[in-house]
Amino acid sequence: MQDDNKQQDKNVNKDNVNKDKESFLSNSLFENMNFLKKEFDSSSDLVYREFKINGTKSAIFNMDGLIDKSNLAASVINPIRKYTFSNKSNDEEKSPKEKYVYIRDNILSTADQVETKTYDEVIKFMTAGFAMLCIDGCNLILAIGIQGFSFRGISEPSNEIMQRESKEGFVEPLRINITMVRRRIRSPKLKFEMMTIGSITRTDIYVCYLKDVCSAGFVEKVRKKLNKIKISGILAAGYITEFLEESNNFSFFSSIGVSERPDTVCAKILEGRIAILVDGTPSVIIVPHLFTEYFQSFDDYTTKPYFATLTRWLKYISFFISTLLPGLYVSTVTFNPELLPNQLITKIAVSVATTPFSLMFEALLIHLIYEIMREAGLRLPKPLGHAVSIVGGLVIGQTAVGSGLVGEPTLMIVALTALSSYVIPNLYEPIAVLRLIFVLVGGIMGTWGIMLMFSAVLVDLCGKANFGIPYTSPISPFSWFGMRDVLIRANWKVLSKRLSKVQEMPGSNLR
Amino acid sequence: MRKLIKKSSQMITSMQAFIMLFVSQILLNLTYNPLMSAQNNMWDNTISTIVSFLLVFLSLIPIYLLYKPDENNNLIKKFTIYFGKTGIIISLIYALYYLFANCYSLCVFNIFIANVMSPNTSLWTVSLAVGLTSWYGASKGIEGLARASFIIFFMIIASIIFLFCALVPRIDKLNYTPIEGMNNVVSGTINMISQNFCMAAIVTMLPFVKGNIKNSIFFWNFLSHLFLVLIIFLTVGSLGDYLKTQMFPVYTAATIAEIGALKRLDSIFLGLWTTSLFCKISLFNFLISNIFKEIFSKKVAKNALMFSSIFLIIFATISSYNFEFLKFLYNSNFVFCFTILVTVILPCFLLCFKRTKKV
Repeated sequence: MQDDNKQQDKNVNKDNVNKDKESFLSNSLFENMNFLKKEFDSSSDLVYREFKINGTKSAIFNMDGLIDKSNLAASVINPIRKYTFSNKSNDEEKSPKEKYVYIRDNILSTADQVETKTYDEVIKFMTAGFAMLCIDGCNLILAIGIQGFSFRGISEPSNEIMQRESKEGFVEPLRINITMVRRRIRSPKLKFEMMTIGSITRTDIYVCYLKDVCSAGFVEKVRKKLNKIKISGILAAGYITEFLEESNNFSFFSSIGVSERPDTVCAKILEGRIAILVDGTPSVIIVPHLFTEYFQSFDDYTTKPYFATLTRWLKYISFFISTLLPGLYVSTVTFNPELLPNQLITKIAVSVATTPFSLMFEALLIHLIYEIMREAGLRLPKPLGHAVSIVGGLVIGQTAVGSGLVGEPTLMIVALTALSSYVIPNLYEPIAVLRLIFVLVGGIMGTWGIMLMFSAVLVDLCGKANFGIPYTSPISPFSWFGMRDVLIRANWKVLSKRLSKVQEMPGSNLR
Repeated sequence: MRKLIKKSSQMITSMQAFIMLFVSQILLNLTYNPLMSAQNNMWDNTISTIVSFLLVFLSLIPIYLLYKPDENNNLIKKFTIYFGKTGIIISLIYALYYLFANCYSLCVFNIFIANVMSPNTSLWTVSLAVGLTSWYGASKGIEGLARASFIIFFMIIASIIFLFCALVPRIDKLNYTPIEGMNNVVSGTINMISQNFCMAAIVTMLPFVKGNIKNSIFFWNFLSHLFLVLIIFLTVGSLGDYLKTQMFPVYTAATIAEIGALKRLDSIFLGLWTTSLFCKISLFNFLISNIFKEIFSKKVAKNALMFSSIFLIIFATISSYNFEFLKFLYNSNFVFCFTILVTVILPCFLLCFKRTKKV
């Protein structure tokens, strides 16, 4: 008999050692608590409170700082204590499992309750801000949703400022972002599918789409891609975007859109796109993202069509100026000055003659200084940012020209280029790199080099597709229907006649 | 015996195919020079254009007749199916032709840069830049190339209108002299057909195309010849006898054109040429890799693309430095024979073989 007991003890110990996160919960409160303590390595933010429910050992454990303590007291602990006092005599014959079910169904006043069966689930809910109610003798743990932690309030996103629209921007907590989308699209067809990515961070993400508008095949493709992601941690939306690109081929441009505005995201969802909300980041991913979308803004749809068309053309022109102008300037002045009018070329020639560097080097130098100033301005605290502007604008700008290090025309070209690049801020990254490449190519090869590089960039753009939709659609492959919101912004009477779904873009195989 | 090949996953519409061929064909129009066929009256070549249009149209009929009953397989595949190892050699002749066409186009560009645009530029730089970018273009696939060609097409049309508006005031009707004789017309036709490399591209391109191929081929042929007539009309009218001494008549016409503050429009000409050259070499590189893919495997095709690009860079540069070798290799009659072999003789041979053996 003693041997049998020893054997049982040995088995229990062996079980404990072999227990992993995916194994089922034990009946013993002690074992369950021990496992969690061991998993969290007695981390100081693991909080637990032990008590008895009519003679049955119980405990509530949670992560410190992730729950609303007053809510825990009011909605969980107080009702359980009241129940304990009022049902002391009736409760003695109930098994732990019956007590658990009774408390779950009749005592607790919280709306969000989830029954967990495995250690993995317990850890997942605990780290998400749930309080876990564990009763000795019951192999289930109740996760009670009483999350409460401080977060940044809803404010206008500084990267996407609009004139007339909502001033709301996404925030870091996922649940609040979901409500912002749901409030705008009050349709039961709006679906949120939850997934967890990141082997260590276990970040919650939501795939959001409008059923019937977004094709089932497209949703399945996105799901598959997200499921394939093998990464230890997701701390920002940007961690996922590269996994969602169509192939591993290098490209300057991204076919994944990101927005911090709920209204923009909702507009994209209405067009059949899929939004991916990532916990802990105010940036929402939108797939697929077409090249023409860089030139559209939410403001376009609230202003008069003629003005929206004008601003859109300004954006197209700015894109070409910010990418090509410095390269064209360098190549024309270096290789084909005869193309320019005499008065202009005389002035440029005087400036080039008085500066020590070649035009290409001069342009590269000013661009480099500008990029350093921009980077410094971005990272510095706001009060110091003004100092950078003064140093950049006055000291470097004026003295560089005054001392004859750089020419005035080159400085003016770079200034115009920099200004133009801010008209389409989302395209800044490719523009900044391409600009430098075009300056180099223009300085070494001239106009033909620029045209060659331009063709290569064009093929890079046109060869891209994401989720079966060509990146340059509806320009190439061309569609008249799609063009109503590309080169012009048609009025709402025209736009509202037929919904423009992304899967109906020319060349799309997402039907 | 017949292997059923799946229709390619990369598909382009017939309109895209027509535009891509048109953009590639612009190269011939921009660099057209009657001196290449030892004649100096460009105006006579308007008749040659009409004859060329008809002959190109006729020579494309066997290709179409071979393609239509079995749309999934291109001619290369059919040759390998019907003739086995001999078919592979015939397929390699096509790859060689495309490589030859690429070298020819790059050599002409090299000569232009070295002699006209910027004599100080190293030809190695030019070849390397063109070779690498078109390698990249070909690796992006036919869909990417077709979409890019569509955008380039509109840029070309806008530039042509711009050039046309600038050159029309300079036209002198006295420059249009009566046609001198049939010899010029014949040699002009040979010159035009020999440089019409896109005809051979159609041979292997068709299985990638969906839609009304007949119409798109007709429009490509018609518009590219119409465009050539327009170019001849403009250059002859604006340059007159001066063009008889010019190596690149269209370029010379662009240099004398001016609109507003812009004194010369040769940069527009150069832009057109470069983009067209890029499209053409990329397309032909893609077709070379496709031939190797059909005969061997994807991996071999990738390597073939790399080697053809490297060969293009080295061969085009070396031959550009040696004018005598260039003259020998790119002799109009030899190029004409090679073009006729791949676009007329081989397809007709296959068609006859099919009909007689009833395979």
